[in-house]
Amino acid sequence: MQEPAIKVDELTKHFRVHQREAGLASGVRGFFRRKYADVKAVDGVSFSIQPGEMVGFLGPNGAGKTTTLKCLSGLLHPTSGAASVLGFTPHLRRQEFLRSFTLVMGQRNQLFWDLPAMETFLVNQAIYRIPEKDFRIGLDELVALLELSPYLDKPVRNLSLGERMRAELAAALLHRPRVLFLDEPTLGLDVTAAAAVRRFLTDYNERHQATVLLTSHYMTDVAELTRRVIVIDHGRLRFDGNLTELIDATTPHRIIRITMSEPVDPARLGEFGDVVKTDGVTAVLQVRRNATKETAARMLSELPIEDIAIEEPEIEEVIRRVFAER
Amino acid sequence: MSRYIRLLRIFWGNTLATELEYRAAFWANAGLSLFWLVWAALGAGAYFRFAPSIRGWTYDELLVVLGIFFAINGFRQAVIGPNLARMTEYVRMGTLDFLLTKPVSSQFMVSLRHVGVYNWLDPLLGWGLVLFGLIRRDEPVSWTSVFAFALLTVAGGLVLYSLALAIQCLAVWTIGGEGLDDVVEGIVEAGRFPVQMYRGIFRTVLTFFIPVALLTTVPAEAILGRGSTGVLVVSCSIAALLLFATSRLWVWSLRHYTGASA
Repeated sequence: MQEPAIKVDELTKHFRVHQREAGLASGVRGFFRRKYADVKAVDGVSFSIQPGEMVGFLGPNGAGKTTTLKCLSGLLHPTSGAASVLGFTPHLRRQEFLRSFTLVMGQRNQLFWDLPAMETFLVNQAIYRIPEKDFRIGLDELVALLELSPYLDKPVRNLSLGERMRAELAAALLHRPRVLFLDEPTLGLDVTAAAAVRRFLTDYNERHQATVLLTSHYMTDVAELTRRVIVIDHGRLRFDGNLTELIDATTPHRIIRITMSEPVDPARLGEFGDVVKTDGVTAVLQVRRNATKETAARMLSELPIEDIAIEEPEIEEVIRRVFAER
Repeated sequence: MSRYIRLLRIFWGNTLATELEYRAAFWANAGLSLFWLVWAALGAGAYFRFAPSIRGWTYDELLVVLGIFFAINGFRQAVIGPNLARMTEYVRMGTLDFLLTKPVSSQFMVSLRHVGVYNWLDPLLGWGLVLFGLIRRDEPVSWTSVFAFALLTVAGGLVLYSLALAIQCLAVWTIGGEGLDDVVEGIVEAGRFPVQMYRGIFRTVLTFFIPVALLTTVPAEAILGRGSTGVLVVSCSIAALLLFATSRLWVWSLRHYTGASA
């Protein structure tokens, strides 16, 4: 068994926050006597990730995803519990540790706003002490994969969001990190730009066997990039396993889509499963997962079927169900 | 070390390249600096029309203090101010997160990353005024004095840097920290006159609590031949101690950093 790349053991991070009420009077009161509350942003989370694995990190806003990523990046000191990344304790912020990972946050940028992206790349070369030859090779590779060459010499402020995100990724990966923490890397990108980023991440992971922990609100990201997902909510671990297992556990049905040669009464269709919608000729049905095959076979023999398709439920729905359960 | 020099070359080089496009602004600022220098020198002269010396300082000697003040104030405007001004933004926008994930001293990144270009002539003008004061005073200056003066000026710069860093630590917690630069400006401004000219309690505060005396008065006394080995040793020790203490304070305050979104 390989040593895990990331190991989190009962990680807990509490924040002490000042509780503010609305209004001037309570504002004045709060000035003299403050009420504090402990917010359990991360509350005893444990998991481990093998080298080369790409894992999706899911949860609603405020679930504790970013806090966990910040603990793993060494930005925050855990209140209790332990985290280890590539054998390092993140918050000690040892140079070798800082050199071996990267943090990309979709809503923030590290590129110099008024200068071409190339300037940031050169600064990172100096910071990470990348030898000139490796720097050129790495840069050429990233520029090719991310199709950056037309934008290298334009000031960052003149780039579109998608172009900028690609340049951000290049800046973050020049030093060939072995661990990538990606916080909403496709936030705000249009479909094509997001797809380009996903393609790139898959490619990078294959080329360099990097370990990736990714948070995203976009289920396409998660479904395309990761097989394993970790779901947290209110700072606690809710699920850790295969995406398909998560789907099995939370949505015990599949979708059957049919097109028929002549209209069929909805009541008749109801004998096969729950009718989601029908216009007589086409219909969408929900059927029990373990009875899908048998039901489909029955439909083929008993109904005037022209076309039939079996689909997994939308992953958004799966996630909604996970959080609706609480 | 060479990595930091290289980084400074990139950072400061970039700023220079961008700002030097605006030649007119540069010369206008230089003209303004010269104007303020002459104004301050002439203004101080008014006090001496009625007395040859004030609290042991003659006009020529005061010019030396004023010159040092100009030099150190130029350093403040060029290096300390631009970095302090951005500190609040780092914390609020979360850029500090990125700075902290880099394998490079975060203290270096927050305190020396930026540079202002318009006040680069101020130190030159200041040293010019020091020289002018010394020539007018027309008394021999020994090499030992020059050496002590050089050491003490560096010490003064370090004291100012440390004070600014301590204020940057504050910004890590108090996310809204606009005007932090004004605090440092106030401190430097107090060094416009020798501490002896301040009365009682103020003098004590400016010497021992906020070591303004180290910024201008002590180096001036050294070049005027009034320094002592004791003062030199104590001043350099204070500078080293302050630098060490504020660096520790920086590390300590990062422990309590909670990030912009938390």
